[in-house]
Amino acid sequence: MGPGKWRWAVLGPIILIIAGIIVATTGPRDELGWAEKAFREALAPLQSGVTRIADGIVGVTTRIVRLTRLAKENEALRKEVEELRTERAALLEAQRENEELRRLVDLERRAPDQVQIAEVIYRTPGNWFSTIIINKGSAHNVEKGMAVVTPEGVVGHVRLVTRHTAEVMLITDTKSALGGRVYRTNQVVLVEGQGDAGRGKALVKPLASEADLVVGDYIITSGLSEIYPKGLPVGIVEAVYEGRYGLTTYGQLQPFVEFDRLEWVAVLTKPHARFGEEVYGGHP
Amino acid sequence: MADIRKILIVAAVLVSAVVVQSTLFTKLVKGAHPDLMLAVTASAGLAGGLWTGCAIGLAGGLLLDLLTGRLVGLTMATMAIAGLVSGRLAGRLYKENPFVPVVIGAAASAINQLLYVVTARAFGVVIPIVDSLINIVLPSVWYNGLLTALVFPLIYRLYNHIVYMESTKL
Repeated sequence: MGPGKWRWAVLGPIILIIAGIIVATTGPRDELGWAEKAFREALAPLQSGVTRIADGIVGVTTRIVRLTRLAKENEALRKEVEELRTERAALLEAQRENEELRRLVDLERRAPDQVQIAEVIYRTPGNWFSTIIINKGSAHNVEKGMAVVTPEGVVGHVRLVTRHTAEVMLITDTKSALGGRVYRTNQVVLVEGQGDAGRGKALVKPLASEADLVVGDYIITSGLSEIYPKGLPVGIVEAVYEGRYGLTTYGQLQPFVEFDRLEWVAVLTKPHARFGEEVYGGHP
Repeated sequence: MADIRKILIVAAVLVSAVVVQSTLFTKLVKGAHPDLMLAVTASAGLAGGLWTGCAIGLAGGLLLDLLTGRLVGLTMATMAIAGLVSGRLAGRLYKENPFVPVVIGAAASAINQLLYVVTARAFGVVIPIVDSLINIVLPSVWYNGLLTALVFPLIYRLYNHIVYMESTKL
């Protein structure tokens, strides 16, 4: 028997066996063969481990892809939130400024030709003097000694003027003193500034010896000075003290105007004698 | 040429300081404001010594006085003294230590403000001393110490640049 014929003699039965196995396993089966069982049992732990690793890899990959997408989305949302926040802050600021200007324009409307609206350019540097610089000067008919107000009340008076700027001494400046009146009793008082050292407050000194001053009293301008017309709101008494030996009484005044937030003011260029009543209704 | 550039650099620094101080600082910080010019003066004294501090204090104080328009010359004088003291102290301290500018700035601030309160009284401006100490001098000492620590590296670099320009006659 040659080698070729020997191979055919072996291959023939193998093919027959394979064919037999195929036929035997084609139809419905009640049980696996022993070889299948043994192979499956032997491979199962390995497959289980590998499947777990593969699942892990797929899971991690999916998570990475998802996280990358989420990070991008997060970044975009964060940017959007930031933009919206900035936009909101700008809108609120514009709204606040608009409201402030609207009230000033309203003040101007109620007192036509009597006021000049001006923007605060800066506060004088340093902590000792309470003065602001506004962007209107002699070119806009602003003169030394004119009163400066906001819709809330008295700011101060013009101390110095250049062509396009003016320096306003606030009522809280240590050198400021204005004639006031207690709204409740009509008693005349002197309002003296205490500067930044006094945390932007002022001192109320009654001129009469029998002073009747209580916490919560409103102080308005007396109209006795040449600078401030009568009836402009100045502030509210937030504390009352007795002077030495109990002979004098004085109060601490919280001005109505928030000087730290001051952006726009009105200079009273030609106020009528009844400006306070026309604009502020004669009461705080 | 080096002199003109030196003057331009110093002028730019001082004008920037006065603008920032009168706008941003007075707007952002309620109550006692940080004094950027003092921080610049103290830093100049620390970087260049006694006379540099004094000269910057004089020039910077003048600019502040011009903007304030009251007691013109007083800030100049107090700021110059603060610069002198900073320069004097700087000679005894290791300026690379980050705490040194804080200490110098705080000391210069206290000297400047106290001198101002006391001297202003002599010129008829009565500033309450105790209230000033509590509400202005103490917070300012803190602010200005920190501000000097922030400003000093920039002033030190500018000072070295000017010294280099002068030595090479650029």
